Amino acid sequence: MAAERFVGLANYRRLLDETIRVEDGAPVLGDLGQSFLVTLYYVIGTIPATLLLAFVIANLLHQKIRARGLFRAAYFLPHVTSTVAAGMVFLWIFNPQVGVANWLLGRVGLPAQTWLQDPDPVLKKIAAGVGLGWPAGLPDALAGPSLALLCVIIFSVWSALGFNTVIMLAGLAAIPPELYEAARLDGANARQLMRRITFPLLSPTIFFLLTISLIAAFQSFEAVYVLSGGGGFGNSAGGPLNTTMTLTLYIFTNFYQRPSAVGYAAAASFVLFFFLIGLTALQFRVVERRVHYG
Amino acid sequence: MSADRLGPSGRAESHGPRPAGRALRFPRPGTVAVYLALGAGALAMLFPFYWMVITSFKDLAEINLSPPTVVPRAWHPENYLTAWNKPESTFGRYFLNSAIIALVGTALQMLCAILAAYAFARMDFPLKGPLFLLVLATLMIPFEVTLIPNFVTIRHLPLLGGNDWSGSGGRGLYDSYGGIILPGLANAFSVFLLRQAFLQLPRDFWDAAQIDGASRWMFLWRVAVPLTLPTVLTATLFALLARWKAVLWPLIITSSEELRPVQVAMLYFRGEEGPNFHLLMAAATLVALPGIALYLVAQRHFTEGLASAGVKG
Repeated sequence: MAAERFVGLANYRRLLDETIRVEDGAPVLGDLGQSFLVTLYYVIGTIPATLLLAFVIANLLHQKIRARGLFRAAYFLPHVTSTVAAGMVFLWIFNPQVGVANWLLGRVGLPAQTWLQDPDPVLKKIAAGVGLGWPAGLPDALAGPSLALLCVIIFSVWSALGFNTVIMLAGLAAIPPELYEAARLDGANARQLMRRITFPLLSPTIFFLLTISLIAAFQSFEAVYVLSGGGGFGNSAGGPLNTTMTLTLYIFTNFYQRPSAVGYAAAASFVLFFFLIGLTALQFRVVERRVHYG
Repeated sequence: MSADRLGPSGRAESHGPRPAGRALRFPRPGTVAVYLALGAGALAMLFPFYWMVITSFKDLAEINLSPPTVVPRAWHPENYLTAWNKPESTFGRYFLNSAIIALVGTALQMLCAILAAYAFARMDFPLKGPLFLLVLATLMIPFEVTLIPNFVTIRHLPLLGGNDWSGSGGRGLYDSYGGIILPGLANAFSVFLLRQAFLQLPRDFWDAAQIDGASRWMFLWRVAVPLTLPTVLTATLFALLARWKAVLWPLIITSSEELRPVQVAMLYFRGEEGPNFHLLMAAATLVALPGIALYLVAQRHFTEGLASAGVKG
C-alpha cells in the first residue's frame, strides 16, 4: 500500500466528480455513475424475473405430484454450485466461436452473437434487428443493459431461482389448507383463491425475499467478476467497455488495481453503505405497508 | 391449487388409492401441463450441468466442432487427470486449502454462534436487546462495505505477523489461513437461526437441569444443542457451503500460491488455459462436486432449515 496521508474530503469530492459532471454544457456519466447505472440494470433485470419465476415454480411444486423432491433438487442445484465453476460453464455456453448458445441462435435463424464481449445495449440491438433505428432524442442510458450484462443477469437468475423457490414453497406450506377449503365451498374460483388467499398470505415471504435479494444484488461480485473475465490479478473485469462494472466491482477495481485509490474505494463503500440503509428503510416504509401479516 | 390434499407439513400425504370423487375434481390435462412446465424448467436448470460434464469428456478437436456433439464421440476421462495435474502445484493443494478453511472456519464459527445464540436466547444481561439488534444490523451491511476495513484490520493486528503493539511494521494475518478465516467467525445469520431454536426449548428443561446440578455450560452442550440438532446442522451446512464457495475475500487477503483456495485457483486456471474448455470443464466439475455432494447427502436439512428461517425471519 502507498503511504497514507490525510486528505480531508478530497475522496468524497472525487466521488461527486466520478458520478456525473458537465462537459461542454452536457451532463456526462463518470465511472461511478456508469457503475450505478449498471447496478440498476442488474437489479431490475434479476429481481423481478427471479421472484416471478420462483412464484410460478413454487405454486406448481406445491401440488400433489410425483417426484417433487427430484424437481426441487433440480431447481436448487445451481445454488449449491460454486459460482466460479458455474461461471466457467456459462463462459463456455456463451463462447462467441463455438458456444452452444450461438448454435441454438443459428438453428432458429438468428445471427451469431459475441455475448459476453458485446457492449451494445440490448434494446438498441433489438431496435436495429427489427429494422427500426434507435430514436435520436432518447438518451443511451435508457437503451438497457449491454448484451454482456444480460448474460450475467441470465446467469444470476439461474443461480438464485432455487433458493427463492424453496423459501416460497415454505411460505405456501404455511398457509392453512382450511382457508382454501372454505373459500372453495363459498364458490371461489382458482383466480380468486390466488388473489384473495395465496397472494396476501405469501406477501411476508415475498417481502423477505425482496429485501434480501436487493441487498444481494447490490453486493453481487462473483458472478460479474467471473463472467467478465476476471481471472487472477492480471485480467481486469467489468468489461466490455465497463458495461458490467457493478458497484462492488468498481470498488474492488479501485481498491486492488490502483494502489493510490484505497482511500477513494473506502469512501465509495461508505457512501454505498448509507445508500443501502436508505434504500432498505424506504422499502420498509413503502412496500411493507402492502404486506399482510396474518 | 390443490392445497387441500397436502398435509400440515406441506407434503403430499398418501400414495394409496384415491377416493373416486377426488380424481374427478382434478382433471388429468392440468396435471400433465404441470409436469410439462416443471420438466421443461428443470431441464433448463440442469442443462449447464449436463454441458459441463459432457464437455469435460471431449477432446480439444471435438469441443470446437460445429454443430456441437450432444454425446462425446470418444470419451476422454484422462482430461480429469490432466486438469488435476496442470497447475504448477496441482489442485490437490488447493483442495486441501479449501477443506482446511471450510472445516476449521465452520467449526469456529459454529462455536461462536452457539455461545452467542444461547446467551441471547436464555441469559439475562444488561443491554441484551440493543446488542442483539446490533448483531442483526450487521446482516444489512453489504460485504463489500466491510471489505476494506477488514483488510486493514487483518493487516494491522497488533503483535502478529511481525507487527508491533501498535499494529504496524509487519503484515499481521495478511496471507495466512488465520486471515482468511477470522473475519467470518461472527456470523449474524447463524446466531439468529440458533437463537430461534434455543428460544423454543421449554423453560422447564433448564429448571430440571438446575435441580440436577447442571451448570449452564453442561446444559448447553448436553441438552440444548442435542435437542436443537436439526437447526445446528442447517446452520453448519450453510456455513460450510458459504466458506467453500467464497472467492472475493480469499482473493484479496492472500498473495502466496500455497494458500490459494480452490475457487481462486480456478480463476487462475482459466487465465492459463484460455481456450482449453474441455480441461476447464473437468476442473469445474471437480470444483462443483463437493458442494453438490454435500447438498445431495443432506438435502432435507438444507431445504427445511432454509424454509424455517425464511418463514420465521
